[in-house]
Amino acid sequence: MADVAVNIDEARQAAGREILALTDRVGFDAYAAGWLYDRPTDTWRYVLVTPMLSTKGPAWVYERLMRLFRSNPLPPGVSLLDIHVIDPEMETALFGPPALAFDDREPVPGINVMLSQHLQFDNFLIEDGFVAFHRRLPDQLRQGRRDPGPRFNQRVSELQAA
Amino acid sequence: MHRERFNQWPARSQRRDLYVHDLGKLAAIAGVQPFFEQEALAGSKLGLAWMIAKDFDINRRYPGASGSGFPVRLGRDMVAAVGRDGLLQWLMSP
Repeated sequence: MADVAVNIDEARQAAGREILALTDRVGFDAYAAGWLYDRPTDTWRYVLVTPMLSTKGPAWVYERLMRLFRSNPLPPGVSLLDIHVIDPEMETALFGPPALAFDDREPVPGINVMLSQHLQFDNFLIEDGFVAFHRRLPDQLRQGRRDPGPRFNQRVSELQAA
Repeated sequence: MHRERFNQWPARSQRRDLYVHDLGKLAAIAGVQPFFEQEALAGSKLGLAWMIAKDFDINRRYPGASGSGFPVRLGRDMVAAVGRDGLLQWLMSP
């Protein structure tokens, strides 16, 4: 953690909010979601955290997300390749254990920024950058949640059929 | 190598950006992201394979903090993406 200027414009914040709202609508039920910025390559990634990555597998999850984003296009400027899904274990390794709950929807819209420097978890290496979370649920709100898989599966199919 | 006009692979000290396991960053350097974006938008097998493979993380081969090891489904899907679903074949194609 060090001197890293944070610059996430309104359009990107709105895009992140929109993606999270869309995934909520189909029952994806992300434990955490946010923009991850890597300054040296000037790249942004939108990270969604879900246990389905381990329980269902990435093919199952991405196949449904791709169908979702085909019928409901991503906000302008956001590519499908910008979407990354990680599991809660990797999230903890990247950002530390979640402690405080915050959600972009309540009580007022807003993001929570974590600065990062020389944060190395290989694929998600951030030499100099930050993550701007729209949501990060603490452990106690994650325990005992029902498996989002069946609902997510059904809602994506319904949305595509509509 | 063709795109960057290399006649040999550059040393780490010259091109540190090439010495990463981040497929997304490497695809951007190679200029193949638009291709994979189209494939993903079309819902093709290769597009799905790339969506999976781009999240490859070499550190996940070790047991996690919980001692749970590498998730089986994640491993199976990664292997299928590279093999059965054509990523390696695409990479080796002329």
